[in-house]
Amino acid sequence: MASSPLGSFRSTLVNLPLGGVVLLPVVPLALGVLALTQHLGSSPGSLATGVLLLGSAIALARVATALIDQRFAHLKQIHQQTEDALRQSEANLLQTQQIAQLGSWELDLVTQSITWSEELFRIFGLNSAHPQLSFDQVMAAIPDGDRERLAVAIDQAIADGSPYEVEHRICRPDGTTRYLLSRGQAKANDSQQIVKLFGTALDISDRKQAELALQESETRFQEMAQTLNQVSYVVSLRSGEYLYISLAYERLWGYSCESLYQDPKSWLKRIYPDDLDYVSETFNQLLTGQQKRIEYRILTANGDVRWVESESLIVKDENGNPLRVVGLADDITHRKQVEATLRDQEAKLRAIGDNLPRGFIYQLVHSPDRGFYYSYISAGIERITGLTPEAVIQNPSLLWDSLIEEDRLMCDQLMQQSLKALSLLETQIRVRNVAEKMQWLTTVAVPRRMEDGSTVWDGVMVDITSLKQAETALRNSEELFRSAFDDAPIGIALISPIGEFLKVNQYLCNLLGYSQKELLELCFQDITHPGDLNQNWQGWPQILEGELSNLEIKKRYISKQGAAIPVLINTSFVHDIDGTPLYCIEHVQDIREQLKVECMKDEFVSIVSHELRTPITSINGSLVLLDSGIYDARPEKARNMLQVAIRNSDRLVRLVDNILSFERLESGKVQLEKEHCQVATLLYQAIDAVQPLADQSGITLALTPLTATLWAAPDGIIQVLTNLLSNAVKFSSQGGTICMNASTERSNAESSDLSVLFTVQDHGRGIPADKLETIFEQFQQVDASDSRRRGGTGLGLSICKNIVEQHGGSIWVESCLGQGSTFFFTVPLGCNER
Amino acid sequence: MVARLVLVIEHEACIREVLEACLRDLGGWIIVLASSIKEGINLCEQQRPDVILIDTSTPEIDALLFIEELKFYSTKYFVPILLISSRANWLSAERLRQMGFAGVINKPFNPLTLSQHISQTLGWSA
Repeated sequence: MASSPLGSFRSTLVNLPLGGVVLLPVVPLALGVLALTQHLGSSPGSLATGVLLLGSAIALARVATALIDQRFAHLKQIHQQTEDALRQSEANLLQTQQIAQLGSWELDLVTQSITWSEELFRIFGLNSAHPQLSFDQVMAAIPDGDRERLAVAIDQAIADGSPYEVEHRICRPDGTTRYLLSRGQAKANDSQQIVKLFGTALDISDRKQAELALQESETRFQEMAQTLNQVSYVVSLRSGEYLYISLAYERLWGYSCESLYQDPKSWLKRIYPDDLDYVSETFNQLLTGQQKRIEYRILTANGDVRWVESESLIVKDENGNPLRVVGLADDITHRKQVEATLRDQEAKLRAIGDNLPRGFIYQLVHSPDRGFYYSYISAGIERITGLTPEAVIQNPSLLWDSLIEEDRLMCDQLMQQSLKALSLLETQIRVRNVAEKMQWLTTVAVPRRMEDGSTVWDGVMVDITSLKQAETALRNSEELFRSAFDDAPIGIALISPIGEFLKVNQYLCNLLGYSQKELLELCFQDITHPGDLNQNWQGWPQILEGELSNLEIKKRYISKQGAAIPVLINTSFVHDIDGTPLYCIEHVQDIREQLKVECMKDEFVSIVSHELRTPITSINGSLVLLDSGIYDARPEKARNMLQVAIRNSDRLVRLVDNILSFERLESGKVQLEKEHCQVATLLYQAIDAVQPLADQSGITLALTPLTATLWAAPDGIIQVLTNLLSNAVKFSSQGGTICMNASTERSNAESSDLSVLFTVQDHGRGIPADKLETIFEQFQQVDASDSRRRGGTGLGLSICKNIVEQHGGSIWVESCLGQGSTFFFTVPLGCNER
Repeated sequence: MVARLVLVIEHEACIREVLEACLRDLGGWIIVLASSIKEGINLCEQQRPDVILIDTSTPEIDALLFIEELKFYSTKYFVPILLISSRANWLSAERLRQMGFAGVINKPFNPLTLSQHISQTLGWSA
């Protein structure tokens, strides 16, 4: 037995038939392996080529192995004859084994010794000078699993002589793992006993790794195809069958991939009916290469409608005949929805733009070379200016020219400014529309700078003409109300809920004697009479809460000068929309005059009732006594009582007449009927009327008559004279004289018109100077007690004044206390009348 | 029955006349008439009336003074004063007493029951 590998190889060779042909397959094998090595070292894209080469290499190796087996046998036969050739062959074989990474071995079943070729040591990562290993040592280098498989194959080969081929791994001493393809075959001795096993071990690690890489790549592709949302597909054009459809199909369509493999036409059934024609048509274009992409809708298994976009490529054979369709289909429902939303939004925007009431939207552009122009204007512009959007877009100066000149200048400045600073363009402008009517517009536009250096403003223009008109109307109305407030002939104040004066008008200031400034620093409480404050506050909460809409109270304000001023207050609160009280409006009416009149009225009623009761008491008394019958037997007594009744009823009539005539004169209900009358007649009639009264008191009435014709109401003049005369009688002492005169005189210094001046003079007690004016007012008497004694009503002189004034004359009195009074009154002659 | 003496102070002649007729002819009393308070005071001294009827709404000068004098007399001699007034119902009986008046005769009065009314007010037996 040879102790070295070479020796062992030699001994192997001795038993092999050897032929020159052995070299033939060796050369291409070497070339193939070389190429493979190069390919594996380069790009992974050429993996396929690598695999191909590897395949060839393996095939070649197999052929080579077979040939070697064969040739070795032949070599053995000719060994004896050609020692040189053998040596040459030995060297060649060694080289060949090296190149092929192929080791050979022999196991002597009798001695259990193993003989390895040199290359096999290298494959196992051992030095070629390493001593031969035992069978167990070799088996120990093979990892679990692989070892068992190999052992089974070896046992089988020993048992029945069958050759085996096992792929297994080995662990090299340096820890690396190699893949080997081991082949073995049993060899029987002459007596057909299995005595030896021999075989080869080919290092297929590189191929194995390439296989694993391929497997991994395939897995990765599968993973990718499974994971991708896009559906990838390959359809054979020849059979119409699906060669491949990725799992995403199930996710998107909701049908199984299997269903499509089974029924390739089913994809047409899933197309949304409306799109079927389109898809069919487009699919034909796809075949002619005109169209690659198709967008269509599908109906998924659960009835949803989804948008799909597919992009297909036609794979052709070398002759240009279409073989397959390869493509991707993607779910573009979301994109379609976004697109639809966008379209919808644009339509909406356009609709808004076009239907903006009293306004339009626009896009203004400024480019360095074109200047300002409009890229978009909505339809509303026509309603406002009468210009169509198209016209203005074509010729921006149309709009520009319609601007009022000063606004155009201002607008130009603002636009330049906005252009420079990218500031908001916001202004109000006036334009003349095509009907030459001026319109107020307000605009706001936001600028943005574009990449090409142009500037774009997105803006809106709104017609505010009516707003402006309303503004003016409001201003006018405000002025109106302000003047109504300021110039009101009544005090008006706005008062806060806690009583501060917020606003006061001039009348109130004058009434209270404060300046506006002073009053605005005060609260109404400060200047309300303390006695009236409680009453003032009582209604306050109700009106504050809105329970009462209006509060009317009488109270007293204290003026700056300290005077109590009785006022009638009307208060109403202004609430905001939530009902929160904002301020109250107070109307302050000075009721001093009113109170005075009321007081006078009370007095009047008191006097009148008293004056009426006196005659009524007499009349009633005397009549009742008569009625009782006590005077039936005493006629003179009865007569006496009757006279009492008659006298008093006369007095009552006179009193009532006076009251009535005063009331009628005062109210203006009675127009005095004027006529030509003789002054003397009037004087005499008056004397006649008063004479009995004068006689009672023994008073003499002296008269200076006048012959003149007067345009007057005779009854009126007689009443004046009678009133004056009877007053004079009342205030004259017993036996006195009353003088009555009448004379003509000029009405005034400048006029030639004549008047009659009447005078009635008495020598009574006279009238105090401070009463000279007021005695002509109603219910004014020198002394309240006068009315009782003199039977006056307090109306007589008022009646006189009224009558004289209705004649265009005047009445007055001169008096000296204790010496007497003279009453004067004038009546224009009125000759020109009628 | 003792005939009562009544002093009437009334400035209105007509009313004076009617009062006199009522009280004398219907009441059966002796009537003394005065047209002013001053005159009434003098008559009080002379006639010593049992009651004084007075209308205070007199235009008489210094009427107040005389009324006080009359009240003094009334207190001194226990002679009641009755007020003749058209505003009598403004005052309560209590207030009237405080003012020194025993009662009031309202104007217009009922002539048939006037004497009866006075008797009742003063507690005179009929």
